[in-house]
Amino acid sequence: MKFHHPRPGFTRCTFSLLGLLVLQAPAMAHLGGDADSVAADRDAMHAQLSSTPMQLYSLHEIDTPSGTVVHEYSTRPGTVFAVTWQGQLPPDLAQLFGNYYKQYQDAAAAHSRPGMHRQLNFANPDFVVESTGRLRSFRGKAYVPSLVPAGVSVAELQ
Amino acid sequence: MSAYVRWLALLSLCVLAGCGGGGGSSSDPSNSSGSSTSSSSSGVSSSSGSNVVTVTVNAGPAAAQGGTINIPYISVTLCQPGTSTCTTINDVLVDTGSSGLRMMASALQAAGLTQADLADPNNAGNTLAECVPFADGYTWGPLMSADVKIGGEVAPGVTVNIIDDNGSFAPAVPNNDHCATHGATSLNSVTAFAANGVLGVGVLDQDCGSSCAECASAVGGCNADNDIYYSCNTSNTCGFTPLAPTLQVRNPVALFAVDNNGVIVTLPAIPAAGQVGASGSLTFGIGTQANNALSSAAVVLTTDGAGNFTTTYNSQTLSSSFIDSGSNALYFPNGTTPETMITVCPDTQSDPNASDFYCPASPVSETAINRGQNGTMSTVPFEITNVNSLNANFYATPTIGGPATPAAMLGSSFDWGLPFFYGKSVYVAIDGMTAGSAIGPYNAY
Repeated sequence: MKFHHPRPGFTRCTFSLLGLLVLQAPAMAHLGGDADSVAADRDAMHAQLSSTPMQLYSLHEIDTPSGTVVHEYSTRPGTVFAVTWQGQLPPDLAQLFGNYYKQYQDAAAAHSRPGMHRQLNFANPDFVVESTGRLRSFRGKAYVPSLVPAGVSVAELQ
Repeated sequence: MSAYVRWLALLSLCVLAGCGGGGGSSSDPSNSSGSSTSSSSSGVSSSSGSNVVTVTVNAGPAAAQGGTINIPYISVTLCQPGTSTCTTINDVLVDTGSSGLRMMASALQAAGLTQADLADPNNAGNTLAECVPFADGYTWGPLMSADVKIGGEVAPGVTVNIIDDNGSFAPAVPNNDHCATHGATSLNSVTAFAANGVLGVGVLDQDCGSSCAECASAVGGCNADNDIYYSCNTSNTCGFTPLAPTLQVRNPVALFAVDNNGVIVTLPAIPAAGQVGASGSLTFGIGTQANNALSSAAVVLTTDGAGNFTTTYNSQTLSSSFIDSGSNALYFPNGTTPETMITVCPDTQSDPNASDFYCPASPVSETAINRGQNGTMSTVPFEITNVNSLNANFYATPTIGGPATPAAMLGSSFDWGLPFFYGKSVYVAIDGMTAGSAIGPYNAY
């Protein structure tokens, strides 16, 4: 399995993000990536970032100037295990999905049907996407089941 | 093999001789000889009327290879602006869930209509193109200006999006922005929509609106987060560009002379088991003629700026719900307890995506409550049948449903697709327009 690439230094404390410390942005952020990747997503989206530590995970909210809101959820050690989005247009899902993007493309090609262009849902063993909307109103959630911390209910991630 | 696969496999045959042809009213101008002088229909309308065209649910265009169920079609005539050079295209999907006319390049080419790509007013020598995101893919292609005629109505010089399904548009899909990333897969084909085009008659005037018009002054300028329009140079390189609302792809109804505040989609009631096809009407204007009054019995649900209202189903509050003739089933989140869950079709080798639909052992009767932004509430009963039990020759089926995204961020959807329309007149009023006793955006039924 090619997901989950912990970076060297990925044990760096998640809370360093709290102070909005600007970290060295890696070339590509991704689901399954470390906390640095959240900052990379922020930069790619010209957005504001605020991070909140919760009991079982950290929530990073990225707000773009045009009103798109992306939430990235990372484990306490810092691995991004889920993302959600809402906006008039979808965000850059290649950026958000990283190594999982290929699965998304394949599933979209397989699931697309006439009369059914307002949603895309699929659940692969290691990657789940729930996506819906149309122009001016897109929303979705994607997560990697194997990375979800014990005790976290994915259904409740907004 | 599921009934659905059989539908898809159901080639040509045109079982639907009775409903075939997509035929608009016989008074439609025929190819290349239609007069461009608008008879703009402000006069008396008969019960049919120049503001009414026939909507047909059938197998659709031959190129759609047997089509799919519950797709409503009309005929649309496009003319080179200000001329009588026109062509009529059949099998155009009527979509209350989007705004603007999009035509397959192959259909226009086959009909012999040629029209230059729309010039970019901000970049001399450049032309305009658009990438439209859908939840499951994207379309890519140029813009053109056309006089769009539907029945007796004319939208002069309206921007139309050409979906480049035949490779006739030289600029490739731009990489590294939303066409390449948030859409995932190309929907540039007749088969992707089972239609030669999509007529978006939703609650909005323009497809994108102020975001695309004002993006130049946004932080970061026009980008994938705020724009879907491109300016393409003579080297076939395209980049994001702002586009004024009047030049954007617009709901043609908004440009009609009189009947420009919305539409009414009317389809007959049909048996729960479905039938081979259906024929109804698309009426232009609400309260503008003797034949299009807003019924005093109609429930008026005002929507938000995207056309959404709230549906409550099985104790789930679905705050981004909408009425969409472009969806061919009722797509809604399944129940969350054993008592409320509807059986989903099992995926199989022959149909690995069968689970896109519900398969209850016997038909289930459900209710949901719609609530408009204006607080108006309406209880809607509906029935879901095992999709595999439906007659594979039936193109109109009022009891088909599928599971929708259960838990997307900040509000999920009940997608009231075409089954909702059977036995109803559904009013769609355009944002900001007075339509009968209410002001759009609203849906009423």
